Amino acid sequence: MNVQDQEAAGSASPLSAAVEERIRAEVGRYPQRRTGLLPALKIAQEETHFLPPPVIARVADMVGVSHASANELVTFYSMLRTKPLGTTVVEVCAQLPCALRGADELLGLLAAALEIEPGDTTPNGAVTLLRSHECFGACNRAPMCVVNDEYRENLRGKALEAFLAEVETAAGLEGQTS
Amino acid sequence: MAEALPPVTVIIDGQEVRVPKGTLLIEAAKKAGVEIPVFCYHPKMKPVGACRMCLVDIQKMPRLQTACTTPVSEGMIVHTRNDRATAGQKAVLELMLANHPLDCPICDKGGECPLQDNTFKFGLGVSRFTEPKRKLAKAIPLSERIVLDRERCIMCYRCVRFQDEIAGDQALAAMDRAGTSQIGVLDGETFDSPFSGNTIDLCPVGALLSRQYRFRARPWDLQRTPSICAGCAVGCNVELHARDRALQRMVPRENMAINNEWLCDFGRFDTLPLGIERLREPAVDGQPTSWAEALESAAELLRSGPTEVIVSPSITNEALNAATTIARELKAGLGVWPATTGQVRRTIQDLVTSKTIILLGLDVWRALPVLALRVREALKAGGKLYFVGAGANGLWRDTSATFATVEELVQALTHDGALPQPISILGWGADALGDELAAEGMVGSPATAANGAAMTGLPKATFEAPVQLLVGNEDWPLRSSASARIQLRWSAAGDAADRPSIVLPLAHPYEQTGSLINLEGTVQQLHPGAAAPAAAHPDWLALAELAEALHISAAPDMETNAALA
Ligand code: SF4
Ligand code: SF4
Ligand code: FES
Ligand code: FES
Repeated sequence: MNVQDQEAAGSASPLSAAVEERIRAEVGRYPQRRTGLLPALKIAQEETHFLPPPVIARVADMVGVSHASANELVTFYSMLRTKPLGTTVVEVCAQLPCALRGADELLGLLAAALEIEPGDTTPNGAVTLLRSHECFGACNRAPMCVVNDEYRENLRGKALEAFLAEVETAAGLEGQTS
Repeated sequence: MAEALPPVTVIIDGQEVRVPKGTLLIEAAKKAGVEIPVFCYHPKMKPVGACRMCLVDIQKMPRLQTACTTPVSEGMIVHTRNDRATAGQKAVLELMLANHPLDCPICDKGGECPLQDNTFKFGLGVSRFTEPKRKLAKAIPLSERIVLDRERCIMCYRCVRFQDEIAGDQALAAMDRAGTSQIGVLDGETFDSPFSGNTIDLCPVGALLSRQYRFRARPWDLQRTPSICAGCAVGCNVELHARDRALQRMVPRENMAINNEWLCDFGRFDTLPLGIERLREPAVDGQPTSWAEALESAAELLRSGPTEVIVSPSITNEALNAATTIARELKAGLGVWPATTGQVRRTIQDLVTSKTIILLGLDVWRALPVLALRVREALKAGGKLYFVGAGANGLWRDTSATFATVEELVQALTHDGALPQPISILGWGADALGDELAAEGMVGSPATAANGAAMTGLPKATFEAPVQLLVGNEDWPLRSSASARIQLRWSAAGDAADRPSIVLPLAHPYEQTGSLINLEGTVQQLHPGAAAPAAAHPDWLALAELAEALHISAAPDMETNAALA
């Protein structure tokens, strides 16, 4: 089966025709189709917000790489998401300076407050808790975290208490924790 | 090519050795008789320098270097066993074991594990780590055939590289990254590749294991017998591993002229007579009996004729000779079924060195799997692959162009000059196209059954005679009500509606001697790697006995058979 046949075989695509068209055009721009995998996945994610296995498989078939190879790429880049995100995304920096100033404790407190594991989303879909793979460049105010692209810094003492309350509110868990 | 480069002299552990410039240090060391420990390096795949096991001290280099990625240069002086080098090697092993579960007593790899061997030979002997080890998932079924133990994996990428470089289907990949990276597939899918079993051999630890063989034996308990895969006409060279005379697994033996060092999963797992109900005793009309009585009844039935002798294309040459003699003496018809026979000119080596390969509707990937890997070797060396036809082509990833007809191919590819030689052409109509293109590679329609090449001249069986002698383990077509059948087979007879009049139990090809001719015409010997059920006889012996019961004088070949027994 060649690439085109494989495309034809997957009749019920999880992607819209418009997005598939964009992916096809994008992949066609590279001398090696494989190079188009990363941009193709980004285009798919614009539509589906995260990349569940059927979407990864479809994009892989369109580009002509194995499903395993496409999954390798998706799991390597943290900005390609394999799980849906909540309305509020709390990303805790856990790189060295933050780690030295208690990032792991912060992450643990948040996980306990939200009753989820890092990487997961509250069952009501309100808050996603993430452990960052990159330094946010705010080490001088460690430990810190990023809430929907906004920084919350120096998260100790009073600031920490206020922040935990903020996150609980966002999660709709107000007053449930003592 | 490395051979063309001028030789350079290097000194490894005081040994002077001359090798072509650009040779990897690890290979130069082998030539000097110096062993450098490795995990990720494998001579059949590109070096990646992933594991750092092969650290050596090269004079004038500030830091230790990986021998598997360093090409030699003139005058290089290398120490693999001085204090610096051994300290590096020990450190690598110590770190590798920091999180390794060391569950060797319950690990199938124990006894044939490079991690064990390197640790004993090059390691520290004790660990300074007191921290708890990482806990990860164990015995994850990656497929029907293979389980993965994430704790044991050392991320050497050999399995991933095999599927990418050798099989070309990229069926495995490394998921996530850094400390959490792991071997896997897409969630919800399985590790599906017709060559997946090779990753078990390649894995330098007990991370990828065969579900068929798991917990069945220890390497030091195995009796090892060289033999030939009976799965198809490639005739891959194998080693049969038995414990207490019972077959446990099959692994490849390297033969660069035939299978390189690979096996397909069908051959490796599915040709073994494991979990298959065996035919254990002769029977006449469903009643168990002795060989002598069954042979007597069979002889009587055959003499009552008219008879057709029908052979499977997977029986040995010796059995074929005996069957031919019986058919001739009985004046019976002789046919083959299924007709997976064929012939090619030239050899697999000529295919591997071809610059142009044309497949005429032949899906080598499925029909002759390991031959597809050999085709890929030719492509990696710059060859081009073309496919003619609308059917399946497992090598589609590597195919330069697909054509509907031979005419279209000729028109498209030869309009600006001849195709580069050697040209190999395989499939129906290969001979005609081969002549047209003056092909110098492997040309023909290859047999696909294990001994199909030996039966090329035989007509296809008709199944019309009232008495039919069926030799070999096939799913024979249902008999018409009128006919009487004598079957010689090793698996329990299938369909009750097809219950043969007489059955004689055979040894499995892995339990007997005999020879097979592979698709290129090479004669190879089977050797019994395990004991057959007590009453089962080798195919050629059973037929010789039948000839004797028929008072047919044994053909000269049968003396050879007797010598083989
Ligand atoms: S599973 Fe085995 S071969 Fe694959 S990366 Fe891990 S250790 Fe290497
Ligand atoms: S290619 Fe054929 S001979 Fe080789 S292992 Fe597979 S079935 Fe056996
Ligand atoms: S380490 Fe956390 S912001 Fe730099
Ligand atoms: S063997 Fe050289 S780095 Fe792995």
